[in-house]
Amino acid sequence: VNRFQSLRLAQFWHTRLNPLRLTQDTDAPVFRARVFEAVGWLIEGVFCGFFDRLQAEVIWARFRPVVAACKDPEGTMVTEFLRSQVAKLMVSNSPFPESAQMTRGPQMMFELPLFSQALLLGDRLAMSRLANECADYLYSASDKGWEQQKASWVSVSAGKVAERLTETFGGTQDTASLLAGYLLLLEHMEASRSFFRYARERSTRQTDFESYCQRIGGLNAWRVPLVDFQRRRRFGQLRELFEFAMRDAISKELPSAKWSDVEGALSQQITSLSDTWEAQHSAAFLVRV
Amino acid sequence: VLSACLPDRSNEGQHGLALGEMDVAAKRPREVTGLKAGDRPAVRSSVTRKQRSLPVWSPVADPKLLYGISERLIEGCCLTEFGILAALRAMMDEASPFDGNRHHFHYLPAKAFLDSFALISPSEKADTAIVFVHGFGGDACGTWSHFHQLVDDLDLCEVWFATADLFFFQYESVWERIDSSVNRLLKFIDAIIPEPEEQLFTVTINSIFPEEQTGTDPIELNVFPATRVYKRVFLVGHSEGGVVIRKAVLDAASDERRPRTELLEARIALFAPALFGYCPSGFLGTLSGFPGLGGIVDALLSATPAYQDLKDTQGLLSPLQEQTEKLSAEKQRHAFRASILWSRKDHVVKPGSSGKYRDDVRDYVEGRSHTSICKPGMDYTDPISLITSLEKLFP
Repeated sequence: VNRFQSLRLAQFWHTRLNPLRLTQDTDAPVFRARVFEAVGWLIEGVFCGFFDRLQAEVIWARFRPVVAACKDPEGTMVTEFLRSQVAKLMVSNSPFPESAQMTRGPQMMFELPLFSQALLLGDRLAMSRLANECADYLYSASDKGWEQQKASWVSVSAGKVAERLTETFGGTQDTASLLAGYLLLLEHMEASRSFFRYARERSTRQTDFESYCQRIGGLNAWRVPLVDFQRRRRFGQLRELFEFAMRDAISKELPSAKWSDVEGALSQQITSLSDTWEAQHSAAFLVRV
Repeated sequence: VLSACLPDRSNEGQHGLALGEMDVAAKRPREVTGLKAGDRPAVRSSVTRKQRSLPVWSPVADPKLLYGISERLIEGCCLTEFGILAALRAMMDEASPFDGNRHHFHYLPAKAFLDSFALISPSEKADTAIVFVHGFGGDACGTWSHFHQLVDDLDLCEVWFATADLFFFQYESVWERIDSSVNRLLKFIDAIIPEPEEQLFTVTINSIFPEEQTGTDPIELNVFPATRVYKRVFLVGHSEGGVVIRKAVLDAASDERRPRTELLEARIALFAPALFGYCPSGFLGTLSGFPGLGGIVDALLSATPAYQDLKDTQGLLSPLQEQTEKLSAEKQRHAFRASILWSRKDHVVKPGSSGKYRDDVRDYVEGRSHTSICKPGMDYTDPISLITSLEKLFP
């Protein structure tokens, strides 16, 4: 018996699936992306043996109506591969047949031990209120609304950003909370980069690391909008907002320091994070089924 | 608990359920091997199976029956009693070969300890609790990155951690004052040590099934394979987490209403602790050299109360040292001493004149920054060794 498989699935239900089932905001593009991502984790978890496939069938039966109620998600939010996987699941009488799961061998030995950590990181990003609000805004803001928002960036207060970062419940949506969400997204990107670096170290010549990135990284690639041109531009512009806040913090707390001392490092760091996210997550959008 | 919601099928031959003994995948016994500098630690490349007996539910499930149930579930999208039965039977499926002996990631309830989580050992005999306390601007996951994997991946420590549960405490290090964080940590520790509070470590499965199938009684799964009573406790802190731990120990020692023997006997490992204050002059240097986001966020949040506390060595940190050293001289308790690892290139915290309290032990490491010093990797196992060597250091 692997009793932990039961606990994993129960925890996954409470963390991911049940909150979506209770919300059912099926018209919102972001909600649909969340639903598909959650089903993707379920599929991948069963595929590598992290979840028990028979228990997963019970869970799927309970969650299936939520997916059925969702319209087709945007092509820039859900990869073609995941979309096809979910479509297969929807029409199948045996959603997780044994013959379709990963066989025991080097790839399973590589992927299965990593799944807990991958899911932990994915869950923490999914449950990060501020990061979610930031991504939602990047996806949903109108061009006019975005430009108006940008006009207020110059006066952003670093202190307020700190407040937003530590509000447990929050609710205030302003420039400071947008930046707080952006910072948390960057933090998650760093955590993800570190995880995939570790995964690469674990991989061997017998394992397919690229496939792993495309399947696991592709699940939550949409949470950092780098695929769609317009949203990618917005995400890039948030760096300016970060710089305004940094200037404010430095002038108040370290008046003897110069902005130019950190400007280059900051820019380099963010560019590097974005590039890595593209390679390890967004690249999954290039895969055609 | 689960059997209560099932019909009695004890007379149904092979489709019945029975409580019994079942063999599960178990760890391959290994010796804890020390590594020399420059050695690349062995990563587990294979897991051999060894017979071990655990009292578990023993399934004799008929696959055809299960498939039949599954089809009904999908077609009708409704669950009968067979739905629950299928779930229970599936629960008893054969252990996975590659992760049956790894720690289970359990998220603590958000209402009690938001974003804190635990790595639960599959061993029934686990008697060790290790509590990780992150530092200023850090979090329970990122600060300790790769600990979560390496405790099960490295031959170096696999056996040592096999009987240990790891608890990653999250608190609002940036905004709260130290006293508040100390209070939170003590509540966290009290909820775990010596016996973990049951409600924090149970997963309710009612909502998975329709209400008519489960009734109103909660159906719960406990994450521990057996009752836990921790005999060995380790506290591990980074940066501000070191201050929070030491203050928590002092508070515990002075609290006569609640004796916390296990906490006072805890072994303590600290990474670049902020025991001697932050060093603002090195602030930008750290920011520009740090490969991740932690340093940048630290920079952004520098004007917070906790930061001010750590700068104010006369107000908080000096008394902390004086009282800890005094108690260490008076009482022979492990928790008044710590093993500290410093980075030689730390621009964020001050190492003080000696880098330690009187009874502490300290060491330095090359090539690590303030934020990376506590993150082990395949080629950097010092953070793990610091913990596993504590008992030898403070017998």
